[in-house]
Amino acid sequence: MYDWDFNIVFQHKEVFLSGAIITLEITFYAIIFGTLLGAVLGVAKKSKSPYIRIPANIYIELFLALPILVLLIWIYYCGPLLFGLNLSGFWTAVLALSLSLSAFVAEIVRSGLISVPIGQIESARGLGLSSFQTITRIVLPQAIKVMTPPLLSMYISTLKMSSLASVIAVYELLHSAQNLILSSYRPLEVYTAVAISYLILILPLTLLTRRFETSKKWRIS
Amino acid sequence: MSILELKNINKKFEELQAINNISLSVERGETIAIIGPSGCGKSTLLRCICLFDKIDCGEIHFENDLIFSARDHNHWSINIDRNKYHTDVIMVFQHLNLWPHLNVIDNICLAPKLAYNSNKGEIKEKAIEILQQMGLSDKVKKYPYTLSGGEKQRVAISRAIMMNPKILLFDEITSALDPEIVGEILEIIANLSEHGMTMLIVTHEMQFANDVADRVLFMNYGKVEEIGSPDYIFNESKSDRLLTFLKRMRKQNFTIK
Repeated sequence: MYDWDFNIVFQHKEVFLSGAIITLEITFYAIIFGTLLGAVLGVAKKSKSPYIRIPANIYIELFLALPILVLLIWIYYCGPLLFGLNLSGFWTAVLALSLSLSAFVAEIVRSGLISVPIGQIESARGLGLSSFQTITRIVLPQAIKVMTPPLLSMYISTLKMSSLASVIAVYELLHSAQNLILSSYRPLEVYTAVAISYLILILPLTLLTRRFETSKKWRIS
Repeated sequence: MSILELKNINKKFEELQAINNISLSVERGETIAIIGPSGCGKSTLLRCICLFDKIDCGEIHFENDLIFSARDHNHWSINIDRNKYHTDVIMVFQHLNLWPHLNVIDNICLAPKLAYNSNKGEIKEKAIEILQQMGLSDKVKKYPYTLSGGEKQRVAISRAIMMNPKILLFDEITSALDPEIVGEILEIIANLSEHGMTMLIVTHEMQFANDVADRVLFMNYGKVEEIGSPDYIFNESKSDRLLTFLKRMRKQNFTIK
């Protein structure tokens, strides 16, 4: 019978704390960049001009298909050779996660925008609203309601995927913990603590998603 | 004096001639009922007047100004501020298109708030007054999905009236309603007609067209087949197509005196 000893975890709380902070930082930047880029791409995908639409489509298909781990390692090792990129492991992780997330966000934004029926736009224009007012007052509030739950679940997935940054030696939660294992020889306790740490980070986000999914203030009738 | 004049307007959807050389002059305060078999271009006619669909050829005059003219599909010009025009000529849709994210009062106040610079209190007062007349006083803060079909329809009409429109266009607004509610909506429209609102009403309710309209327009294959007083259309006209249409409508339990 294995003799569990969680003292090691409590003695090294700061390892988990600093790791969690890096994890959150990577996730935060990836969400900001990925969402902004994705929103632009989502609109570009609806563009009438093929010069905008086709490159956007190629970009989206490419990053939907590439596994983040592959992207991460490829940028880390090939980036400096091919593009003269000189990024730290931290920013490499942010870049890889942002690129991947943006492709998913683009799809979510596009489907959110087309989910608003044309009649909604016509009734707005037909009552004298300008096209800008129609977008900000009528289309976006409805599209955002549709987009929020899938966006939040992509954000959760991004947080989890940030653990991949451990393979390029970024001291986020997982890698910090692995380091602790090397010195303490207590992998089972430490990995258990890592799992619980991720749970603590993610649980509020999942609950928030639930809330949005069940929000009944208004709905499409 | 005519408020709206259509001169030889045409509209084609690919091979389908939805509107075939229609000319029509609408007098101020007049109520015109537009009847005809489905697919004959009734809705398209309203959509063209609203500038939602662009006519391919012809002229649209509003209050004696040429506001839209087209020579062919690629040569057209619009001579009016569209946003302004849309506060004067308002369409109420078959599918209502209430905004689901706004409650009843916001639904009917949003457009006037954005269009006019009058103060918000005034607009709200007017909105409450209209909702009272429509029997919706207790629905002010409700969201559209909680309303019944008839209530939604009354909100949609209130939303249009809030703009003080010069012309109201109704596109088969009772066709999605339960028969028992149809009467109450038609009564509201009849009331507007009595108060001198200029209206074009696409409808399948022959009795209503007979009772409320000043003129009835019968459309068929994108053309104005017959136009005249309700008495003429329902009793005197000898047009074969009109008679066939009316016979078919009678069979579907529509009674016409």
